[in-house]
Amino acid sequence: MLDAMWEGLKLALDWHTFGLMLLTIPIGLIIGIIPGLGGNLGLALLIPFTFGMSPAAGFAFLLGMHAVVQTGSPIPAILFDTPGAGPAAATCIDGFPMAQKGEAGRAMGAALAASGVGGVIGAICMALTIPVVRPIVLAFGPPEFFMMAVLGLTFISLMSGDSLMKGLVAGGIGLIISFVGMDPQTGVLRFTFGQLYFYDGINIVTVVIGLFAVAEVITLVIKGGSIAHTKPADVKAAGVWQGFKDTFIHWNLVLRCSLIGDVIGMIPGLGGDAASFIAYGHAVQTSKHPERFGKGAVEGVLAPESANNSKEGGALIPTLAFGVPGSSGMAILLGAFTILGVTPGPEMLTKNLNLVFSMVWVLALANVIGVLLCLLFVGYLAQITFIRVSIIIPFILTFGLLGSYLTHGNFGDILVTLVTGILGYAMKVFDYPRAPLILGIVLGEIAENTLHLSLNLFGLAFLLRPGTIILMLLVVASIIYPIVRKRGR
Amino acid sequence: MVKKGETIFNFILVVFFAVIFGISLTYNPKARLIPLLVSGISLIMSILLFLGNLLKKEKKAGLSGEDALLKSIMEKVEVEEIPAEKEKKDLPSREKRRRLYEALFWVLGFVILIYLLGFLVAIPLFTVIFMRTKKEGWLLSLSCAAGLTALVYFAFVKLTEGDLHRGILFQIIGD
Repeated sequence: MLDAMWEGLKLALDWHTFGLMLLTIPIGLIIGIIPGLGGNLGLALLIPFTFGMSPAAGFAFLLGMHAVVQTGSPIPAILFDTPGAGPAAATCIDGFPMAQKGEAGRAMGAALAASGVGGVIGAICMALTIPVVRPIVLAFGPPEFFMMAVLGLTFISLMSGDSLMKGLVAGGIGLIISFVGMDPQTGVLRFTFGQLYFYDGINIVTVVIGLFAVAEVITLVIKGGSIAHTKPADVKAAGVWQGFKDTFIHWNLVLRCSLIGDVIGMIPGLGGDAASFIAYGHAVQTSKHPERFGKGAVEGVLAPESANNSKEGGALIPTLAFGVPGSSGMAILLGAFTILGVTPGPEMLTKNLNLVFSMVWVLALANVIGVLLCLLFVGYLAQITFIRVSIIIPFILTFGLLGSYLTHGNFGDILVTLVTGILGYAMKVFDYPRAPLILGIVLGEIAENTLHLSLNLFGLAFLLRPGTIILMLLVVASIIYPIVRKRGR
Repeated sequence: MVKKGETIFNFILVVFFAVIFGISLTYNPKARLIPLLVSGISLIMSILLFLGNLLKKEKKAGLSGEDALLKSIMEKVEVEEIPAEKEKKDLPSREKRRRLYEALFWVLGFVILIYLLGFLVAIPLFTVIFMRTKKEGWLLSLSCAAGLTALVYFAFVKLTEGDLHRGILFQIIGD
């Protein structure tokens, strides 16, 4: 294991890999700072660039960007009361009042340092979890993987907020998309409508680009203007240093919230929004002075930011070990696995263990470098939110459609992206969650293939295997939990 | 307006799942098992959503997980409404609809341009037309168009030797 860790570090520090990571860190920060774009869009736009890259370089390229999106997102949250990404909404609650009190620098320093510390803790947790998860994954057969996929699908209910039915419908669309093409078990062509293009199925990358990039372009055209309209508060260097120190003064809170973020990240479906708000709620509940929250308490900035960044390490665990994405971002990342020629699952923790550890290092390094860059250029980075959408749109649309086309080199990919873009926009407007759709695409194929394999190997007796029974109980619990939670609320 | 749009969207989903369910029935038992199950459940859900929306008197926005969580925290701490959210609500629905058609026009227009002229011609053309329409200056529009095209050419043609779509018009002329 230590050898793999060392080899992983060497892979991450290889000049080519490290250079690619350095290249995408500023992109991640910019995407995080511009409200409405987010890490999912960033991944969708960067995936096409990974064609021809080695797996280590490709993952460093993508993870370098994805790891720091949450580092940049508190900047507009604190300065303009507009979160760069969903999870940073929790930072607005205390970050903006701090800026109004003239403590913008302190809030910024605290947010950035907590993000960095959280990210590194997330990476450490990921490294520590691998030896625990490895024997479990290696003991899994097709029945257990089938149940894992079913478990992943039940997390749709957790991704659906208060509208479980809308989440299930979105998941249903994703599953049906995953059935398009030739059924590997029977050789039957399903839902191809006689079109040769559909024979190989629909690539997840084309759908993701439509759901996020094209839908975002439509939203931006409707919104118009620039993201921020008000003059940002002054960021004083002394305040930034004070905020930096606050992170270590409240080390206990930062550590607890980082662990909360990591655990939430591991549970597929909960995602970053839940991580930051639960961490914020934890900070309020455990504080001796909860009345200070909402009025500019630095702990209200530290808690969500540390949880935000640490969740990425946790989310990578189920993604790599079981092929069950820990978040919508990880579901998109799974799309890159096929491009880079890597299969998640047992192979990842045996043959590709070096690669897994290189991801751990990339996560940790990207977080540290991202925070340093933010601290150096925080004033300039805030100006990015004043870029008019008329300048951003051609860039997003170009890279989105180009990325879609490059998945197969077929114009049909662009048409799929166009249709899913309109679908994504409609889902956004009518409060249909988009993450379950991606989860459906990712898990549909795994669930169906492993079910047929399990039935062929064991018949219905596969349901009586100990691993399957344990996972089945978890499936039942994950179905009952949201219902109980809703009633309790 | 939102309610009407949502009703139409839900109806489209009902039709979609019904068609998928019908098509699934035509496959052999092994190939149709899971698609039938998924489309059947989804069809029931979408019908319930459609009827629920149709019978609902006024739109009551459902809170997403994040919003619900935020609401519960807001009850503990008093904070002002986020300005961006306030602004979003203020946009009149007719103007919003006009902008939606405009957005669809731009996206569709760009796709048609790519189909006809290929990426390397469509990208600068679209960028300049779009930015000029949005009242950006000539210098900025041309700079963005040139920069974007150069980036695409360098990254996808020179570096990764990707085969970008040439455009149907150029293919006809070439033939």
